[in-house]
Amino acid sequence: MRALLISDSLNLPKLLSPVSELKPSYVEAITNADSPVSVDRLLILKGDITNDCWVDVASERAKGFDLIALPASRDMREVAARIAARLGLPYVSGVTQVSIDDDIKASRLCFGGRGLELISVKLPSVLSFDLSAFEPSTGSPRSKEELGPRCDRRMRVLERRGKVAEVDLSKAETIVSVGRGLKRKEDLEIIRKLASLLGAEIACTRPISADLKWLPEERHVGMTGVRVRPRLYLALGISGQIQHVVGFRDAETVVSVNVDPEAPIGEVSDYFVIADLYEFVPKLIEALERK
Amino acid sequence: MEVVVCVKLAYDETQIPVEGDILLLERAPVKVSDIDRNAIEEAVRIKEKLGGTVTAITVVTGPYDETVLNEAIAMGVDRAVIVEGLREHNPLKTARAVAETLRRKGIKYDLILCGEGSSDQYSCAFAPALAEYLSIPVLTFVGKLEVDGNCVRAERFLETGYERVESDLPAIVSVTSEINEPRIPSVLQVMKAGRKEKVQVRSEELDLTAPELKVSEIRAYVRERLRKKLDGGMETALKEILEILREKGVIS
Repeated sequence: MRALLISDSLNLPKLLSPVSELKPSYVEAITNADSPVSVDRLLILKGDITNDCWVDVASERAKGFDLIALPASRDMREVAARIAARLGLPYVSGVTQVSIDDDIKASRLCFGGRGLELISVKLPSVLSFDLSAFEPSTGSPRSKEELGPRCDRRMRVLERRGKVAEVDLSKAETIVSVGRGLKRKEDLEIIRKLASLLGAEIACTRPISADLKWLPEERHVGMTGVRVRPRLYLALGISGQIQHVVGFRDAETVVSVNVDPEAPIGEVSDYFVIADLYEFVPKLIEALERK
Repeated sequence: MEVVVCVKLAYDETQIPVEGDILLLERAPVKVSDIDRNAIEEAVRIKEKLGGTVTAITVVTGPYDETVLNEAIAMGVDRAVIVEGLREHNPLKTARAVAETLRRKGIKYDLILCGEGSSDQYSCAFAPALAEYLSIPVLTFVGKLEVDGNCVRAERFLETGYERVESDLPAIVSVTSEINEPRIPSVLQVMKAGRKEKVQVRSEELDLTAPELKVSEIRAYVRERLRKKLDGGMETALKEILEILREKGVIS
C-alpha cells in the first residue's frame, strides 16, 4: 500500500501515526515547511500556498497512491474533499480509527458525537483524520525536495491574521470548564481563581467563546472545538448539550455543578452537584484556601 | 443577485433516544441542519440588500419533513427544489446531485451558500466537492461575507487565525455559525411558505456518478459514567468533591 500524506508541517508528524499503523510500503508527504517525519520522500512547497495550490499539486501527484491522508483541519477538510471530487475517489472525513484488509475500514463520529459510524471504502481513497487522539510520530525523511508550484488561484488571499494560541487543552490534566450558567464576563475571575488553586486550565462551551467571545476559541471544548482527555473535568454551569459533551468524552472523571437537577450534564457525569455555581465555587475556593 | 442556498434536513442529534448502543433515529425529530439556517439567513440578507431571488435546494438522503422544510422557506426563500431518491450519506454524491440539478433545471446562480458542515455528519465536504463539479471558486468556513459587484470578499475563520479572501462570482461559500443570527419565522410565515413554488426532482433523472461509500454500522458512542448525584446539601457535596480532587491527585 502506497500512502500520500498532504498536510501543513505542524500536523504532519501526528498524521503519520494512524497511517503508519496501516503498514504502508511507501510513504510520500507534501507539506509547506520542513518537518521531522520518517517518510520515504518529503516534498516541501515553497511560496504562498493557498487551498487551490494544495488541491492542484496533490491531485497531480496522487496517481499511483492507494491512500491519500490529510488532517481534518478546516483547510484540509476542504482540500481533501476537492481532491476526492477531482479524482473521483471516495472520501471519508474526520476518521478516528482505521484498519485495512481488502478495503479500508474507518470509524468516525456522527450526530454531534452521539454516534459512531463504521464505513468501508475501496482503495484508492481519500481520508481526513481527526488527530486529537494521536501522538506525533517523529523521525527524519529519507529524501527531501523543494517545489515552487504554479497554481490556478481562484481564491485570492488578501490578508492573514494569526491567532496566538494561549494553550493546548488536549494536553491538560485538570480542566475547569464553564457554560451559560456563568452570567457575566467579570465572573470569569472566580473561575480563574478556582482554576489556579487546582492547577487547572480553563475551558468553555461554544456559546462562551463563539457567541459571547469571553474566552478564545482554543478553549472551546466540543465537536467543533477541542477534544480533551484530562484526568478530571469540572463542568460548571454547563447544561450538557451533546456537541459539548463529545469534547470531554475521554476524560477520566467528570464532575459537574448545575442548579438544574434535570440538566442532561448529570447523565454524562460521574459526580453531579446540584447547586448554583455562584454559591458552590466561592465555597470550594474557600475550602481550598483553608488547606 | 441569484442566490442558491443548499439545505439539509437531519435528525435532531440532541434528541435521539439511545437504548444500549442503539440510536433510535426513527424516534428523533427532524430539523434544518443548524448551520444551514445561517446560510439561509445570509442568502436572504443578500437578497434584501441587492435584490434577486433565493432558491433553496435540498437533497433528501435521510429524513424528510415538509413542515420543517417550510420553516426554512419561511425565512425568505422564493422557491425550493427537492431532490428525492437518494438514501446514502455521501457528500460527494449529494454535491453531484446538486450540480446536476442546477444544470438540468437551468437554475441560474451568482452565489451558492451552504453551512460549513451538517449537524449529523459534519464532513464539510459538500461545498468543496460542488465547487469542483461546477468548476467555480469555493470559500469555506466564512464568518463574514460581503458581495461587491462581481466579487465576494470574505473572512475565513480557521483554527490558527483568520484569512481575508476574495474571489470572482459565481462562487460557493460555506458559512460558520458566527456569520449572523438566523431569524425565526412566525407561524403565519411558515403557513404561507407551504404555498411557495416547490420543484421535485427524482434522482433517477440525474447522472450521479460519484465514488461509493458503504456505511456498515452506526451505533451510539457512549462512555459509562457513575452518574452519582450529590444532592445532600452544600457541605456534604463540598466534602465529597474535595475527596475526589485528592483521589485524582489534583490537590494534596
